[in-house]
Amino acid sequence: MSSDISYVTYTLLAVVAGLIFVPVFLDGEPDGPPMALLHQSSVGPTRHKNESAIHRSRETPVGFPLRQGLGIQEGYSKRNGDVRDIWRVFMQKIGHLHTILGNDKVVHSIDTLDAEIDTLGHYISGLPTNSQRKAIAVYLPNSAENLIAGFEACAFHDFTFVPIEYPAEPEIIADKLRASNAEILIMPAASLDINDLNVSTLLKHVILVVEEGSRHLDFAADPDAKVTLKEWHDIAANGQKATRPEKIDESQPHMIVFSKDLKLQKAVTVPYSHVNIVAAVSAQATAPAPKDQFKPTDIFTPASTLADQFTRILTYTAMLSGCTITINAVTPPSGSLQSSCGNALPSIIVVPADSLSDIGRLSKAAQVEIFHEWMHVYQLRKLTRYGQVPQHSAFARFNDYDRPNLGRNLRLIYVAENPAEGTKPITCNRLNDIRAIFFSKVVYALTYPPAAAGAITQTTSFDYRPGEDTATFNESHLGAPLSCVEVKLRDAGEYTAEHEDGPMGEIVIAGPSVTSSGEYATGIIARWRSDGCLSMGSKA
Amino acid sequence: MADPIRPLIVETTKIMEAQPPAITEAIPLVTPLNLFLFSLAAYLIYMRFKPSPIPTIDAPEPIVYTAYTPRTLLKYNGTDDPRILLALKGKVFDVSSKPMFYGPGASYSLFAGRDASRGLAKGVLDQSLLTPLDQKLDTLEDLTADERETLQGWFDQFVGKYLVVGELVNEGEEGTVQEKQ
Repeated sequence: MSSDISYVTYTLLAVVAGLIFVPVFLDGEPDGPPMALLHQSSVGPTRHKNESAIHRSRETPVGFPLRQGLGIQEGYSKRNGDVRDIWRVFMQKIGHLHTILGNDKVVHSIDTLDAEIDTLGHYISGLPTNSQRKAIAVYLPNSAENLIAGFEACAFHDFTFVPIEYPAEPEIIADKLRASNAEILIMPAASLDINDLNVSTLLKHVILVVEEGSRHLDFAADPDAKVTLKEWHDIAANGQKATRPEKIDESQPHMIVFSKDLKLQKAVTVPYSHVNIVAAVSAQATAPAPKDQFKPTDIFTPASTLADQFTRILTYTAMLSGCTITINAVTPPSGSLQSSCGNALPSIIVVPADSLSDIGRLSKAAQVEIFHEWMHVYQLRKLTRYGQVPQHSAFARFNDYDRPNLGRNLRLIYVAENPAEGTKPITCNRLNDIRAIFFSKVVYALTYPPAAAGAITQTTSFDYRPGEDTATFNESHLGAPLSCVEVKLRDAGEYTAEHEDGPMGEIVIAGPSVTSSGEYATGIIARWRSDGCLSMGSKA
Repeated sequence: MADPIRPLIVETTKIMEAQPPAITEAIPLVTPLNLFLFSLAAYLIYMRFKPSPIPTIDAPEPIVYTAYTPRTLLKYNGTDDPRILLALKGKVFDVSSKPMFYGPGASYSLFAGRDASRGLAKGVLDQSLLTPLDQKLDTLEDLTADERETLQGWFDQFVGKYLVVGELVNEGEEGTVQEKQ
């Protein structure tokens, strides 16, 4: 039959060989083991009658202790550490702190900042206050001062740290000052009329942060002021240095967070202890797959306000890993994402959920021509079929005009769902759109500030499985618990552990990062999927 | 006189009348081999673009933590029900994984479905040491220090090896376990 072989046969042979061998060489490996996505949490073997089984991180399975702290090696033993150790490790690993001012980058000297911790600590310790323990409200945009105030205020000199979101209306700031009983306020110069705040609050002392260009003006000399005024740079330059206390009182709240309790339907102030924060930070540091974890070469930019506890915990995690922290005062939602971190060329960012969701939605809508859509479909196929984040390429630049340009370093985006703020869940498919738009992995976390510091559950960094959306329901899930909490669902009304669609009920959590000592019932209804992920569902 | 044209005509006629050279037979487009290769290529392309279902694994159903009374526990002795349970110091253990010890006819089978505390504490395999079903639970108050230590040893070993699936309570007290949790 040798006479049967013609050019057609040879062509077909080449096609078949190509179809077999080209994928072998060009498809590449998925970003993570696909089978690991099928069992994402360690499930308890028993459950109580009106509850689901306990779900835990696979790092700390049922029967093992939950992650408690940083595990700082000291001699032959390990200790849990506290927030001060994060700054110490940051200095030890020679991390960098940069601030972006417009198009300029300010490189801070860590030693100078370290000295500022002591001069400010000395100044604040000397201020007369009524309460025994000093509470310091920090009303600052994202800045080095904001970060330093956190360490100075809370950690090293044992004050209570009260971050207030910037910008806010004076009434809201007054409310928060009243709720936290703060007598000391750190704020940007000339951003508020202090005498307004003073009327209804305990406020006695104000420290003004003045930007470099305005330091020739004397903001502290206000004859009408009913509070003592002092400028930050004045204290830093001329203040005395305090010695840091050896021991701090770990039973006292370290940080006060403002949130809304969904069960009580009202605003609450939530105290976080050192243990809460340290557990959340250490769990966050080990949560991503090893090759996605924070590394000293990473550039971390919080593109979300540092008053948000999730952003702050992630910033601490980045500091613990010795990353370069690049801070910009502009953050979404008040500024655009590109203006917030475009100049920083970050590799890891934190973005507010609604802003990221909007970027995904708007970029998708801007794909007008058919080839934009083809490109996008090709990139989604890369994600869902081959488990790889699409790469930058000449073809991918077709869609460049509709996406924020954050540079080519970006590899990980953190975004948190916060039911207390009523953010709309981001569906699996929307997350894949966002991955394709940013050429980056996305970690989607569940936070609930009244219940626990940091995230409660978060998705695996390489989980790109598509969602099966229907007309009435869009699939979304929030991943498996972090190693510092255990999560179960308690029956609530029609949502029971024996539900045919999987165990459902109210989220109940316990562990070192949880604000109450025992279990905390959140009042949020969720469902366990068969792969161990927590799902909150989303109406289309 | 020879016609000069004639030989040319002859030659031309010869050429024209000659058999055309045997053209090798054209290979048809559709041969079994081509069909096979074509379908193979089509199959490979189909496999590449076929929507792949997302795999799922069903997680094992967790066991419900239950309050057992001596009577309800009795059923789980390995003969009436494949699960083998036994009680030790008020906790019920699932020992189904070791039928060679607790299964029917095995050495410790008399403890299956019963409160094994007193028997294990004394180290005696005897029916007389099992609390009768109609009596209240064994409080174990009359044990000697040695026996208590032995019992604790057994208990720790059980906790390490087997799953605690419930508690043993007196009849009529089943509700209290739920409330305590």
